[in-house]
Amino acid sequence: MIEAINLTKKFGATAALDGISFSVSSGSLFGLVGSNGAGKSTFLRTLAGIYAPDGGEILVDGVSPFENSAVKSKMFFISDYPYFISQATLNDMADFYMRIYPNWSKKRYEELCSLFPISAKAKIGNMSKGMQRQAALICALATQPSYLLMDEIFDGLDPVMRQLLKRIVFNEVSEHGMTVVIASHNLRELEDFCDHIGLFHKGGVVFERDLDDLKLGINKVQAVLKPMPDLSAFAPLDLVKTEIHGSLINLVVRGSKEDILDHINSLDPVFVEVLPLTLEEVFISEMEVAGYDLDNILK
Amino acid sequence: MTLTTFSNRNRKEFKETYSWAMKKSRGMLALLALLMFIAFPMILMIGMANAQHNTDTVMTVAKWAEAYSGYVFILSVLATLLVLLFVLVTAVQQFSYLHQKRSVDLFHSLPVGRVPLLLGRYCAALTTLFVPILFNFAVVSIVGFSYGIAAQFSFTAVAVQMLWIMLMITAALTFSVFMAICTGTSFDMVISILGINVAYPLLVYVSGAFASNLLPGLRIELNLQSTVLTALSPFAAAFFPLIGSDRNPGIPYTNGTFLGWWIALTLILLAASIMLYKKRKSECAESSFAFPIPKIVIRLIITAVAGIGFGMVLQSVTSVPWNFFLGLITGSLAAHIVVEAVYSRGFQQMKRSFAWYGIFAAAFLVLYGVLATGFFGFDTRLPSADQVESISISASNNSRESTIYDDEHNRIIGKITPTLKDQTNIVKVLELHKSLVNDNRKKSFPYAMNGNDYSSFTLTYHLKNGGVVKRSYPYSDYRTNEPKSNIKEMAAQITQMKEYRETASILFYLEPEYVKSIDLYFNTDQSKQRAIMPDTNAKAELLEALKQDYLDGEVDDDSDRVEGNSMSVITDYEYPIALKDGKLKTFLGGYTGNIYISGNNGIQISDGAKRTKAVIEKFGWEK
Repeated sequence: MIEAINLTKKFGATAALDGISFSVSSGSLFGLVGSNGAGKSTFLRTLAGIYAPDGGEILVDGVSPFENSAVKSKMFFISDYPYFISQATLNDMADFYMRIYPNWSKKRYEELCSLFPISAKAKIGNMSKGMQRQAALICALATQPSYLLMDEIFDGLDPVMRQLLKRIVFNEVSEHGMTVVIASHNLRELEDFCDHIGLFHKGGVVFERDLDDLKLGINKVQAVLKPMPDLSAFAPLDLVKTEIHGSLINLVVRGSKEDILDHINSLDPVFVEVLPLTLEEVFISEMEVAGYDLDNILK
Repeated sequence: MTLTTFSNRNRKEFKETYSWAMKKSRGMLALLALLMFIAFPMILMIGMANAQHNTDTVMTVAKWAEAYSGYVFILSVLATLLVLLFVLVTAVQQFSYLHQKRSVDLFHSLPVGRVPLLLGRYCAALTTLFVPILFNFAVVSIVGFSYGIAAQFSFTAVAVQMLWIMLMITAALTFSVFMAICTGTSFDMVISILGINVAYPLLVYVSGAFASNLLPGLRIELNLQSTVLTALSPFAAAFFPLIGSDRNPGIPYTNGTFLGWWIALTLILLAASIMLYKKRKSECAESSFAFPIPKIVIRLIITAVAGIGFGMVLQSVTSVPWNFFLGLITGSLAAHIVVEAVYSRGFQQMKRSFAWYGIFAAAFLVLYGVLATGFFGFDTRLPSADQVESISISASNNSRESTIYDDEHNRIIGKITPTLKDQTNIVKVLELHKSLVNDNRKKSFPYAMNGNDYSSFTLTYHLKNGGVVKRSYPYSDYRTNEPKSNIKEMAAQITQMKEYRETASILFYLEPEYVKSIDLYFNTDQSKQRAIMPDTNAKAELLEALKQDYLDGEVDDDSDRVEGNSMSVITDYEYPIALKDGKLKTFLGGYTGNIYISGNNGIQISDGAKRTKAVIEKFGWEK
């Protein structure tokens, strides 16, 4: 289990993580989303024991990972730009990790090498961005980590490789109870992949929720009302966003589909439709609430 | 403490880090071994193989040993330079991971503690440098054995040389690692290493010259073996003592203080590196510095070197004392701006950095004020006559002093230096000295830069309580045509004292048995010279005559000090010399080993040297 308790990390005067608190339970697939500079990568690096917290603490199974080899040996971090030792091949990297990670499995490494279409004898530095990520993933999974931390792993992977990645990781989670924390701007991929989502903005956590609850708990409503009632008629709803064009009203509303429909029907609409939001729509809506929307940026 | 609490896990992490780092350094190790082999044993082998062709005489064991030690000691300078270059390359190779965000992500997320990670890579770097050194010095030893050279040279001397190089290489590497941890980029690491290694010795040198120039009585003389000169510059310290030896280039001419300092500093730097690395923030990669102290120190050193150095040059060229300050301000400001711009990659932080320039300026003003006002009475402080046991005198531009070495270890065991012990003479010297001090104060106080770059006249008072008071004054030869000065007058009176002359020349310490042969040069007829090998009685007669004429001022070690110089006598000393009871043995504290004499062995004879000429005539040596 991962716990962030009032976690703070500062770079000079800027707080990249500003006293965040949340937890990630074991065996979950946790997606970190957020605006640029929200602190997602900083959180992952702090979790990986690369950065020392400036305040609060981050705990993995109750222990701080910073300068703790025992915790780190159960964890593997793939950064947004994975680093490979100069002139190294995949086999060289395997030799490197094999010495350091106690759970390294040569068998698993060979299995993964056969699954991904990259040569273990070619220099990784000469490979494409996507192939380098595949190489990093092979090494990561061969260490059989309990915690896999990935930053923008989908970046550069083709759709087939993305599916392969997801399938392999799903298997690891279901068979070995691996916990995955993944930061990405590719919300479409995360939507299919994660069971929990944490939304970061300006060093804070806007929310952290089960993805299903999240998607079911916020809905998009399109309704035609003649005449259009005063906005106060919608006040009982937990409105996130409201747009009125003549007799057409578009709403983003928190709450169950049934409750929302009951209320809208009480206003005698000509037409009403309630649809679940995609993760991307949820993200945009929540960020608007946080003041991070196009209108605000363009002001 | 850190080392003693190394756990089993740490030990395993260290072992794995070391073995991986060694695997990646094999190429570097092989390259260094090959280049060092070419620069050292290979040239030695070629040189030894051709030694017979380069001489007309038969090669004896002694001649082989001489050729061998000559090659070894000169080539080791070349080898040391090569290894020093590899220290820098290896340090960058092993520790540049600290300077890239991506590589820091990898290495600091590994289940390896920072201490084993640092020590594993540090030991791998040491191994990469040590293995080629051990291999090549072993080859050098084997070459020595194969030519039948005694183990004293081919093993002991070579091993001492090798261990010395290994110590200095360890110091240079540890210093480089310390800089790697303090800096944020490899560029900053390299320029910091080079900057401090070049600037620190220069700072010591220019500071010494500046203080000596400003404060009467003070003269800071530094030689290349000086521990202070290179105390913070391991790259210079590894190299200077090799080239600074006045015996054989290549023999590290160092003492216990030098070795002790570098052992201690290496351990301190290693402990500091470990401590700082544990505190180092990973996010410092790709920024200028992880810890700003080296930047502040380097900038201060370079600012001071450029300021003081340029000030002294300007003042020396124009002979106007106040131009020193013009040079100081322009030189130091320019250096400060350049260093800051290089470290900060621009001028954004320039304004803030001037606070540090202000600190330098304030510190310099305090130092200048203290020196210009006599350094708390240093300029006037002299012992009383009853406190003084003896006074040794050195007039460096007149110095023709002879040096006595012990034959076994090539160490200096004595220098023939004019010394006054007679109480009357001591009183007289102190009176002259006090008069000089008072004159100096009357002439210009607070003192200003005098711009003289002369040699010095030094009076060293050896006190009865074991203390030493040493005062030096700028001085050129007292018989030149320059206007008389108070220092010249004092020097003239002191050097005319009989006790001074009796202790100034090697002549008064020689026994006839120490002289092997004598060469006579007749200056009136350049083509006329005679090489003679007189018997002991003739040598004794000649030495006695030379001494008497020397006291009369008709014979001297320096041709400038005899008038009507008509003849030179060159004495060729025995080698080695077995000491017999006499003045030299007493001077050397009853030393019983064999010695040899180095230094001036030419004696100038004036037309008025009647006694010497009479002896030459008596034995018919001029014919």
